[in-house]
Amino acid sequence: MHYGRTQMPWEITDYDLEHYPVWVRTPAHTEPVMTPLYCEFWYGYMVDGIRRGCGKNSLPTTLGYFWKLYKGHGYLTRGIPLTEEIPQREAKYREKMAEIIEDPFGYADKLFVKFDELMAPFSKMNIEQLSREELIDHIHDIIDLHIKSIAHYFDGWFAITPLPGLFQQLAGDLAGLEPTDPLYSKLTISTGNPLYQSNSGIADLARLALDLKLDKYFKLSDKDVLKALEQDEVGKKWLNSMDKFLEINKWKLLRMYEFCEPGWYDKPALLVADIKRYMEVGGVHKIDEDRDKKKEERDSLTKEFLSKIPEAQRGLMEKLLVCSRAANYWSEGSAWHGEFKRMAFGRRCFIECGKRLVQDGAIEKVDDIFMLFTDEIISTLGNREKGRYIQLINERKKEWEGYKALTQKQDEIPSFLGDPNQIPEMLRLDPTLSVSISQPKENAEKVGALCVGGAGSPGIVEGVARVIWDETHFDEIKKGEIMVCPMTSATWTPLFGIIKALVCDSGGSLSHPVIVSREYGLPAVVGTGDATQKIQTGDKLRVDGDLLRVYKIS
Amino acid sequence: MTDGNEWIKFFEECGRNDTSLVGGKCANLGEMCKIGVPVPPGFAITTKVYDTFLNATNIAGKIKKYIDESISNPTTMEELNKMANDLQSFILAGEIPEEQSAAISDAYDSLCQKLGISDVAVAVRSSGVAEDSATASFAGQYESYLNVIGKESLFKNIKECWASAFSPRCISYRIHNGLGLFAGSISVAVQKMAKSRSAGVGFTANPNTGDRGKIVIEGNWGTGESVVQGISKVDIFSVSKETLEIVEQQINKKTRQIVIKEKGILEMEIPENQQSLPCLEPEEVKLLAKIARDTELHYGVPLDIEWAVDVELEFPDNIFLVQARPITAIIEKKSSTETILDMACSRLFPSKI
Repeated sequence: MHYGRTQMPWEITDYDLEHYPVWVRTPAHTEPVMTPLYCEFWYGYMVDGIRRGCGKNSLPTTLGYFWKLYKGHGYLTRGIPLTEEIPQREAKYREKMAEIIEDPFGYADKLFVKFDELMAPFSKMNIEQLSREELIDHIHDIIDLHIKSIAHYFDGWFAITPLPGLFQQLAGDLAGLEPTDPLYSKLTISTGNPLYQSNSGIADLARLALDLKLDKYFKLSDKDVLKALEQDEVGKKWLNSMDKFLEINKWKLLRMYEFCEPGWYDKPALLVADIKRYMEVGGVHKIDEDRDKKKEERDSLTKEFLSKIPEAQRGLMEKLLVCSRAANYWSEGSAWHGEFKRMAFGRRCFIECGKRLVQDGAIEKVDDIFMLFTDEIISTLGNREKGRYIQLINERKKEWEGYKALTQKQDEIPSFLGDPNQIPEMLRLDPTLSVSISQPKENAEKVGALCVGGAGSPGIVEGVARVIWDETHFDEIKKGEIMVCPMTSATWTPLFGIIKALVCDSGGSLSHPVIVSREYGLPAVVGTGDATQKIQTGDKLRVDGDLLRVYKIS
Repeated sequence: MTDGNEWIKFFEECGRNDTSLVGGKCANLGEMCKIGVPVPPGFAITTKVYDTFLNATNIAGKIKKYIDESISNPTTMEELNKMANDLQSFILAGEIPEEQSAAISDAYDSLCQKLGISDVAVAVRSSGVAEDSATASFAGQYESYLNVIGKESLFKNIKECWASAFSPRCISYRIHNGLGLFAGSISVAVQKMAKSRSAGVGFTANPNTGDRGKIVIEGNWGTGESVVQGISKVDIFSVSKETLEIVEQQINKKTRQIVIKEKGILEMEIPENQQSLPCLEPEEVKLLAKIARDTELHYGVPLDIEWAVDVELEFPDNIFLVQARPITAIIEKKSSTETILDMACSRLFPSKI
């Protein structure tokens, strides 16, 4: 009895290929290949959260980007509303958006408070004391937390994020200001948000370690650093500061959207790696070292910029500029208040489930829990069934490894499915897709570049490439290198303080790597499609964020 | 002196209650004088002069006879034109009676003396009593004669103005609206020609956005015609209504202007070295804005003005308003948020392909 179900709902089927004109591959969040447990959360609550958030804001021509998997890898398309419902959607959009435009920061802050209220009960729990049955309750609570938290996340996301796209267009039309102009970055930087504060907290710990002359301990391997510091009186003092920092910031996993990688809360040694990186740059967190100066500069540049806008449009440009800053504020703030925490609470829950199932002998290793779906976990948690899932997990692991092995095989997982000529029209009708997708305007060969991007952050630098495939390779990156990677997310942000430039396969004008590079003043080229294929660690590169080109130099 | 007599009224003696005597245009100019708005000086030849002229010379009788015996209700263009031509010729052939012509002559002398210019060039315009009234608008149907110099031309053009009341257009208008053939007596405005160094228009509210906080002044070299007709780029000044400071200015390259010549107007190239210079000095902009603001305060509604800077006079006496009227179609202020929403729907989520 399977009632005809032979496919998982997140798989791209023949229907999807027929109904949607084109699907574009994006490594954002879906690479490395998601574990089955997270697939369930991703598709069950995250993708439907996109639909819910977009519906709440009623974007006229899109139901929000639609994310499905093909051979385990992420592909995006536009959720297509019915033609006849568009006028209604537009009317509702105007109503909702009028509020946002008046006070985008206020809207973000209101949602941050909602996140905090949702998260508060979970941060205080002692989960080890729960019985198996109470743990089942807790799984339900965690699912509920995700559903609610994701709703807030996409409410804010769809409300605030598309507006900078309009600012970008009008800045070009009215003032000839392109997003690759350094002035553009200077105008749109936001004021501090907790994630940047968290990153400067890391820098502070690094500086403190240097000031206290503890750097010798940080030459040890990450996990030995903390043990060694505990043996030292001054080290203990430093550890106190670290504990204080973690008290506020520990709910953050290594990988933004996966339960299977550890976080600061259960593996503080991860923080040690970040601290080491900041010690290399002298404990300086670039972004707030001169934040006041930058803000002052921003405000005077804003005055000058607005004076060049025709009077009739000046008022609206000022508002849109504030919306652009609010989008940056939202992007990192929502990660810190919401996304990081719900993910960390999720991991803590399922690791505990894993421990119980290992005790029961239902699975062999704690991490095997990520190969199960929640209904499977729930159905065995109360039953104490020895050996229940061992074979299933082996089969799933094999399948999972199989998808992972395809990651760099472009013939297996092509950069698009369907008609690529439809991509421009799709991007035109759904600006929310530019969170992940952009199309280069040039041909790399024609301009003599190694690769070209579709969006970026201004500036030109030369340096040595370091290809970082995913979060587990963070410790390979060295100060002053050019990071080349498939895509970044909020968990990558601490790296922006030490790298010299950034090149990504994926990403559009509203994407994480672009927003954060601008804030950090780093040159970046994103949406290259194939930078990680063409560039190897050690290559010498020139990254031209002004023209969105990457050159290989000798 | 002719001040205060029934035939002539200098603008400063006219007011809104004098419309039946001096016509709408002169009454309005008088109002502007009263509140201190500088207008090119001049005087009104009252409707009594017109009425006396028609009766004393028996032109009125001739016209009545003509209607009785010849054409009373023209049915073809040809008939209408003939009728107009015949009636106008009665007027143009008539002599203005002694007393009235002396009064006009004195008034002209007085104007020349006041300005210190002998045989000052004037504009002669009709100022109809029915003009600008709600029920029967003759606006724009009477003639204007520009650059009139000397008494001989002045008398000729005054009669031309009167005669214009019997143009085919006016006759047809009266017939259409069931008005008597003599409906709407005519006063004539004799006003110093503003010899425009620069001229243009102004708005005491932004007609596009409805913003009432600023006065927008647009100008060009030469007469204001080039601005009204839009034949050239113009300089744009935006002045805070509160502080009278210039908050924004766009000095554009102005290539064409319209100037007044002996006979009529001429569109011509602006000399290269003058094209990119501002057509107004900052002090002129501020004074003009102040005048516009005070005028708006008086009328209580946003105004659309026409202004000129006279090349023959010195600042601050060189700035004139030549016209002020309510902005008829001021758009209700659309908030910037509304505009953003419009643009978001047309640009970000383009539902209309």
